[in-house]
Amino acid sequence: MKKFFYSMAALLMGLAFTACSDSDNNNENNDQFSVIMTNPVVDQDNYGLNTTEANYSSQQFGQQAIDNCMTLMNGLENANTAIASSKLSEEQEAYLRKVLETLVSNVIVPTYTDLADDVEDLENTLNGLTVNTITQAQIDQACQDFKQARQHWERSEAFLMGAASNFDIDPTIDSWPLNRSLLLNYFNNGMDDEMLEDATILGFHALEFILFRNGQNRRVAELQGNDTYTNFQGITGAQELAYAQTICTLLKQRCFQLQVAWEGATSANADRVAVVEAAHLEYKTESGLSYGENLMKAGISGSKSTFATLKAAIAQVLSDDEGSCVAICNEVGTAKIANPFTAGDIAYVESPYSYNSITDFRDNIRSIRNVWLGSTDKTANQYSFHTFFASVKQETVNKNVENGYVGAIEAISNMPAPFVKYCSVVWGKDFDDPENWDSITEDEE
Amino acid sequence: MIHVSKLTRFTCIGMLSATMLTACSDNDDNANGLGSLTPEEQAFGKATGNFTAEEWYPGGELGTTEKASYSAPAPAVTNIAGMEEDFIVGEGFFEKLYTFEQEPRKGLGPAWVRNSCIACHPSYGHGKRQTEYRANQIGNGYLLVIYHPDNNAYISEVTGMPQTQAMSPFKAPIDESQISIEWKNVTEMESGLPMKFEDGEEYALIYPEVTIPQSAFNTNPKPTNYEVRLESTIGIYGTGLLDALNDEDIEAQWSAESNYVELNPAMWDKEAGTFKPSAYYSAGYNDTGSHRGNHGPLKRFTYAMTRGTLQDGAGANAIWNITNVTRSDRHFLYTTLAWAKAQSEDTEVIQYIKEHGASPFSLLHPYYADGTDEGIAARVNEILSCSSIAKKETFDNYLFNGAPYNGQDEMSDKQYYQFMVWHRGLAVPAARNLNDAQVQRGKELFSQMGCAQCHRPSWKTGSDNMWVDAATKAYAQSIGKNAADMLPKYPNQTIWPYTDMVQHRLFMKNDIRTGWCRTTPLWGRGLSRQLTGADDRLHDCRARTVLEAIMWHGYSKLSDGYKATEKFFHLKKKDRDAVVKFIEAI
Repeated sequence: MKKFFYSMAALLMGLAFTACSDSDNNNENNDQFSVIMTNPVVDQDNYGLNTTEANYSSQQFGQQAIDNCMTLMNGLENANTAIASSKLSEEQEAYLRKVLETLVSNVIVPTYTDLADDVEDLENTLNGLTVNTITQAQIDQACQDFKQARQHWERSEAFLMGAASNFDIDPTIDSWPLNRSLLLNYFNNGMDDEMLEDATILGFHALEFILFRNGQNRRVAELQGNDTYTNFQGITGAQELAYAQTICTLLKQRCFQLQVAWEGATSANADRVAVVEAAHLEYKTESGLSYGENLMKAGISGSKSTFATLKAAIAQVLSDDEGSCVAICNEVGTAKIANPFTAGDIAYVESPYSYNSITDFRDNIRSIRNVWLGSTDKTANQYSFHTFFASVKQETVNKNVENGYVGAIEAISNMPAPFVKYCSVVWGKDFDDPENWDSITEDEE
Repeated sequence: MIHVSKLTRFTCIGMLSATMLTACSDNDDNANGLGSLTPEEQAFGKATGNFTAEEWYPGGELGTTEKASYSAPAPAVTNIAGMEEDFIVGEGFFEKLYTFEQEPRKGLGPAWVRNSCIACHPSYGHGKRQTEYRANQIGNGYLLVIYHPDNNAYISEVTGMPQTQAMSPFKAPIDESQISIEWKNVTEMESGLPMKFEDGEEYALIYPEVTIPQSAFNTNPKPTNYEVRLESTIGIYGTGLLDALNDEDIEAQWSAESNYVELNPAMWDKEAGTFKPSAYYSAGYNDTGSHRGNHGPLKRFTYAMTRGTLQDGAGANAIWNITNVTRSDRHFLYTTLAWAKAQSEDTEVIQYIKEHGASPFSLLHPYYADGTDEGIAARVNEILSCSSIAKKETFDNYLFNGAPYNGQDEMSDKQYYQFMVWHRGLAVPAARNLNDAQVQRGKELFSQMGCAQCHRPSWKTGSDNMWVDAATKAYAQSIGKNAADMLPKYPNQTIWPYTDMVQHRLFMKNDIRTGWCRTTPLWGRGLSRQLTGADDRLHDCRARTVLEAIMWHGYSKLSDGYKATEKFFHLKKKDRDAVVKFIEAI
């Protein structure tokens, strides 16, 4: 086993010099940590689709996905317990504070920034559409933007704590099922601003309904004329596109809110802060901190953090009942998958128009991976829970969590796709959008 | 490959690529990583200072979660195989929004207060202070309380929990855009207590003044001579434990207090020294009459103590009346005659139903009648007036057996049962920091000053022989089980809710309707800021901090809490902080 020791000093303007010495002349001794960097176990980028006809009637795939989520939950719970039940040394505590700092700067803020960028892209694409000149390529672009945004949203669900929770953003932008009859009323009667406060016709799933049907991108002919969906036959594509434009702008405001709430106002995000303020949305804690600061300053006397201790903040990140890694893992296993799967209730399938469920579930688990590794690129950051447990020589904790998320991602990917068809066939029930299943595909990653 | 690296913040920021890393040596003494994890001696769960070991578990063994959480299942749920699955499905009815007709959460309307539970109980906690009333603002936990000041009776033109939303073409009973909430500063305490502590630290108190002009009411007649107050939600956790308290034990508490304070004459018979018959819960649509001898369970939920038994309590009622989602034991609407009349007289309403109600798939079809203006108007009035169980037959004709409902309840018995497993199964979060000397000092002062007389620390639950509602019974019967065994139970638990289950009066400025308010449990509230982002307190969220909540108890010398507040006022800063820290720890 080969070991390296290296100490790095300032890198400036592309010029680097490296000092090979134990006696560090750097004044920032407080921030020095001796860590053991190991390679984490990670999932693949792509998994094939399970579309083998015989598999749709087998319950084992769904059960395995649920079981693997439970295993990951246990791994995460044990990781938190390992920290919570320890008397942390000053160095360990300082290091864990860096882990939280890195989590904010390297995972949470970038994920929300990507999400905000994606929704802005979608808004631009939608705003570029007019019914007279609309092309299939434009619709496809909007659908692609939507799925990109959806990916970053799902990859943020391991950190629904903080801003997303305090500002009730999840129910506001991810409410389901879409209240289709309310939407229809509004199309029939016209919209006003007050109607656009009702979250049952806002957010991702309203956009999903307008952009996708039966797992496919909408067809240009339909958007040029009238909808063909039950009860919506009197509604024109022009009305629907105008509505999509309006609610995409609202969604964008909420995504900007998430980004700036975690990042705090900076000169770089001033435009987005302005959008958030103009929409009368809050973006600070009650004490005026950014959510990034609120987490990083956990337990620091006088910091006004809502976390009384560092350990309380770590528990919130890893295993608290709401807004944590464990919470989303539990939600995926026991609700998102189990509700439709174990009782055969197709109404519980969350993304019924785009058939994006398996991708959504997998991205939820990847958000846990990102929190664990302190990165979004599958490498372990030098300040991460992974590197912490490697450096305190608790490899079992790493092994359990990492095999846990890989196992969950693999088992989810292994469920016959699309998920809605799988649940239907297993239980012999019709989905309320009866279509030819053979034409349905769930995007391969 | 394992790397042992020594990094600094400075260098990490500057690190551009792995090619710049230089490996130097492998014989370094610091290659020990971050040391090992040393187990810490845990204070949790052990007696410490003036706290017993049990006090770490405010919900007892069966009702406490060790997580910092308002949403976790209690051991009473997780100990029973399969119950957690129902808890999780039930949780969805609380967390997710309701729709008109999309499964699995359908049946919203024709008028509603909110489209979900979470809207009023943000992150499962207390409502958050608002500066305007918007039903769709998630976090707005306010109910409007509109009543006649002469006799404190609710106005009858709108529902007791007034609705500001309605399904098109109906107009909401109240146009919420006309509601005004103005927050005012207290300039001096009626009691004469200064707004500054003796060491110079100041505190500020605010209160709401709420007005709704008559023009905001879409009713016939419109109300006259009324005042408006706000009542906010509180957290939901632990209500199953309060349901498990014996009626007799609560009566003993009232009896003991009757020697010292005036009790609510609507509940307590001072001469007889017992509860009045009106203190026991009954409902026309549910058989509560003979559960305990000749009466139903003792009322114990809501500020006004209007509801007994959790299975027909505030939450059981709210999932029906807040959304107007009906279920098998509630075949009637949450509406009023004055609203029904106004809607039936509205030509826009009639015209719209005429245009859109002919199809049997339309939600407006029940109102369509023969398709004539007169026929529609009469039917609108008939249906929207189905505001009590007495109108069940009309309801069944049009909103249950007829299209588009075709005999299907909006919320099934199974769904309601799962909702109640969740509701009754929510755990109280464990106490925190009880080993902290300041928290222990706070406990001592809390007791010394007399706070604990009303915020009674501890109770013991009874056998939890609960009353069970008709919907749960029907579901139990359908699967061949005994309803009494199907919900989470909390027998013989020592619990620490910090309430006496008695109504008191604080005589605050713009006080709660009637002035009588049940002592709110304090358990778990210290986690509010972490879990919900806010820590607003008291019935209308007028207190922004624990300290403000305490000082409101001393606004008037008539307040049941005045003497204790006066003592708090005279404390030194360090001791005031200790009391607050204690309240945040329990």
